[in-house]
Parts: sequence; C-alpha cells; structure tokens
Amino acid sequence: MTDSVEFIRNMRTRHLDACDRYAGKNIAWSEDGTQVLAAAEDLSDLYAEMKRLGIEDFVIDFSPTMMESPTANGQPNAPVGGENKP
Amino acid sequence: MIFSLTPMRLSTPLPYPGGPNGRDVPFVRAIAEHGSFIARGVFLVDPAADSIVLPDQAARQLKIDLSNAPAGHVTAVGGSQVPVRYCQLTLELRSTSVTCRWRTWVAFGPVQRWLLGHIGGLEYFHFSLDPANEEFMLVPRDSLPRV
Repeated sequence: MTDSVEFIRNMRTRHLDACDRYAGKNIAWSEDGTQVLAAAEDLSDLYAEMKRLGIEDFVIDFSPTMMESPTANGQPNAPVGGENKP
Repeated sequence: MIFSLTPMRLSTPLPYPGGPNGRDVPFVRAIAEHGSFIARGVFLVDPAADSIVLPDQAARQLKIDLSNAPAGHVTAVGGSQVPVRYCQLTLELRSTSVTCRWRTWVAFGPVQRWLLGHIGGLEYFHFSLDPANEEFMLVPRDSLPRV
C-alpha cells in the first residue's frame, strides 16, 4: 500500500489540475494519488459512483471553489472553537 | 514524517505586490478504521481546528451508527454552528519509515473536508510548516496513544 508521503508526492503534481477541473466537488483519488477516479458535488453521490465502479481502494478529497483560505468560503468545514467535548 | 506541501490555486490573485495566485497547503493522507471497515481520506492539517472532523459520509463508510453518539457543535469560520456527533476510531498516518496508529475521538458532521485538528490529533505531534522548502513535518510525540 502506498504510504502517505508517496501519496502526497504523487497527488501534489496533479492537484492544481484537479482544482481547476473539479472546483467545488468531492474527489476520489486512486490509492496511490496518481489519478482522479471520480468526482461529484455531493459526497454521497461520489461514494455511490465508487460502488458502481466496483472500486474499494480510494482516497476522499475536496476541491474548494475559492482558496483565499480552504476554510473561508462559509462552508461548514472549519471548526474554530466553541465545541462541546465528549 | 516529512510531507510535501500541496499547491492550491486562489480563485483570484490577491492584490498584493506580485499578485500571488496560489499557496501551498499541508495535506496528509490518512486511514480511519472502525472495526473491520476503513475509510481513506486527505486531511487538511489545521492547527486552528479544535478536533478531528470527518464528513458524515465517512461514518457511513465505516458503518458507524451515530444515532446515540455524544452530540455537540463546531463553529465554522463563517460563524455558522455545525452539529456534530463524536465517536472513537483508529487513525493511521504512514510514511516510508514511520507508521502512527492511534485511537482517538473524532467529530462527524455535514462537512466536506477531513480536518486534522488539535484534540486527539495534532496535540500528539510536533507540527512545523516550511513553505520555503514546500514541506511540512509531523513528528509523533511519546504521548501518542499508539495501538
């Protein structure tokens, strides 16, 4: 299995292209980070597509629409405190 | 563990001298395990996040029933309150020479990105960012509750 270092090394060379092509979408990378297997706006749809393709080994990622900050687009993807601890 | 930073593009260049149109971001691939089920995702390493946060769909992939899980909320950058439910699972980060597996609490919510926050995550690592060399480092501390 590809380790995390190699995955990121592979993914980063393709990441800008993926951001351009799949902005605002959830992405399923191959296990080694060398290719995007599928993309969908809804994460549930992406999981369904991976199941339809019969692919079990994939890595979930998200390409935001704006990148002033990956967490600054008003989407609930950046906890910044005020949490209730378990 | 030393990882490469990943380039991200800004939708519009910032009005700074030189007009930067992108920046490098610390992403790390991880595996979440619950029983015999696994989910693989790309974490954004986020020191500003209190906890580790995963999308609700990851819980379904891991066959985790959150209906009776402890509930709470997190506050997004925009100020909105996001309802979450907490659960324990095993996380794994792996480099060529180091494998870190530890059991921790994570929050599941209606989010789109995996976030590696402080409690249960970064608190067990020395994290340093080196944009000039386009890399970042995660060094596990002795306190990491390895499994």
